[in-house]
Amino acid sequence: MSRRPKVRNNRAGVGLALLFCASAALLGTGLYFATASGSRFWFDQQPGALALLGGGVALASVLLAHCVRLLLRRRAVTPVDGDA
Amino acid sequence: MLTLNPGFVLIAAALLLLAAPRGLRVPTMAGAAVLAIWLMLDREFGAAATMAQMGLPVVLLNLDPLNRIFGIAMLIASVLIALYSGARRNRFEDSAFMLLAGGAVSALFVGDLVSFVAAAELAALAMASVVFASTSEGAAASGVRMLIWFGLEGLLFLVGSALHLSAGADSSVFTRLDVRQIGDAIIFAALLIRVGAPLAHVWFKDAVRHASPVGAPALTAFSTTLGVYALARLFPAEPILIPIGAAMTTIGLLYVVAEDDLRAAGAAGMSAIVGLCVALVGVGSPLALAAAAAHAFAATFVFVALQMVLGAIVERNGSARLSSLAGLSRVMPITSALLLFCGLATAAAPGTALFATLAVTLDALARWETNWLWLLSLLIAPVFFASFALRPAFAGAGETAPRVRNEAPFAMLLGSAVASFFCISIGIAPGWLYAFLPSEMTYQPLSLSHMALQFEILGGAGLAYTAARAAGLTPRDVALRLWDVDAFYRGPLANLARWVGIIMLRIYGATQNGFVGILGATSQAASRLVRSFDRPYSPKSFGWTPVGLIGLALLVVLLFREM
Repeated sequence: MSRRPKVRNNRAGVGLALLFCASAALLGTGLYFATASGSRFWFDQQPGALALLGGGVALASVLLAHCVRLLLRRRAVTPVDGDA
Repeated sequence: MLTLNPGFVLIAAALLLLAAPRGLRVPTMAGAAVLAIWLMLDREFGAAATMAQMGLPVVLLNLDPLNRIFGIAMLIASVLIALYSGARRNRFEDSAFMLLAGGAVSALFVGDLVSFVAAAELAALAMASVVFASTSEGAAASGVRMLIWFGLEGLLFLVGSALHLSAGADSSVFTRLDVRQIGDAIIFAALLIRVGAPLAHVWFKDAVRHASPVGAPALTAFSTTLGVYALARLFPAEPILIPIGAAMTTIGLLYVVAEDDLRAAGAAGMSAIVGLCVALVGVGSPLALAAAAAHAFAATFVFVALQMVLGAIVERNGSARLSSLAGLSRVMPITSALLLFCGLATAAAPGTALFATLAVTLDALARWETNWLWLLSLLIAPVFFASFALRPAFAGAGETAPRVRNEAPFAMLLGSAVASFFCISIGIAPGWLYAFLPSEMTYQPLSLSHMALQFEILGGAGLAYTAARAAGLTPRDVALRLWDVDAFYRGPLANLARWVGIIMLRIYGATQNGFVGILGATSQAASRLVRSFDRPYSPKSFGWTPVGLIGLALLVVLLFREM
């Protein structure tokens, strides 16, 4: 009986990363309320705004990566290390 | 007390390295850098003795707080790279790296324009040598391209300096210039090439991509950082630097998110940070200038550490492409852990070097006139977190069997670990860094409000990126290359140059043929004439030629007599 070839797991480490990042976001928001008297500027004046900004930037970076690759990808990809 | 420019010690060491046996090379490099640090810290601020050369003052050493902070960064980076380089045998690369460090450090500490240009160009030649010394495919062509960029930079430096010095010998002093003067504007353009401003940004990425594992951190530490120093010295508070720096940051971020080659992405990331430093120099307030110096200082360590770890992966894996990292965390766990740490350090995670300096940067820009720049500097961290921490971690955690079997060589791991330690030490105890800055500061970056800001933004970015990854929305890790500005000068411009060359050759050939034809016809006519004189007794010419000549002579004589 032949085994099926192993499919590359695209989600390895996702759970750990989610836990780590959710902890950081919660810690940051908690610290925000703990230091409400500190001097703040623009986006930083709203609680949770920076977490939303960070999330938006990450999604925008995904979108930008697709756009940049679509527009600027070289046709010939082999050998990739050879030319500049 | 010695008044030697610390950079000269490194240049002397570069010459020694050519003859030193392998076992002595690392101690020579590290020892020279430590000696240079001692020479720098043992000296009071101010200029050393000035001498005159061709009527111009030459100041080989002028120490002040601005060049001292850049000097500390470069010299400590030299020690780190020396430790890291112990794993391989290439005396030419060792020598080129030391010459690069020596040229850059010498340029920091000289006190006159001519010496600065000489030292900066020595560093540029050494940079090209570092690329030439690499054994990676395409390194020679990349070195040639780099030489062309720095040939252009050197030409601009020479023309600008000549025009600037035409105002008088006193103008040789290495101090603030005015971009509205033509000579100073040309020097400004040369410095923009050095920092990798838009359109000239491609040389840095190209060189780092093709350098050896040791060459890439060396280029990161000594190339664009020198440009930031020179701009802060010569063109502080120059408003045009703000949009230039912002454009550098934006272009850098675009390539960071899309590149497959992590070394090229690291170079683009360094360009983005250098762009922020350039914009801060353009803002020009004392706090902004201090933030520019501090940010360049911290970025040097963070990106040198990142390039070291990526170099270790290249050493074992052949490349540091995301598409080839699957399974890396199982076979190179220490390197993978260091890579994750360096990714967090580039994202200015609390407790790392860039966090300590980002806090100063944000405070320097927290005004409504520069609020867009404040926002841009805030956006760098989440982009780097996704690109340098999460993407490599996810790629390395993949299950495909990797090509490598062993950890990186010990010297490489040691150099990377010590560089990472510096990132932490600056981040946890930044007081010593602030003490060296040009402006005196009493600052608490590890305050809860600063940490809240950074935890919030990184946590939010991480959650969103991880969710996108789990949903399969992120770009696939496939081998690819992206076009850049080089697409223009290596595509249409190169074709145009080729066609112009062909046309010029044809015009030259046609001109040469025409010239040969005219020359032949002239010589034949002359020969006919001479032959006609050679036959004085020929029946036809015997009668008329002498008579005609005598008649002409008589006519001339008669005319002159009448006058």
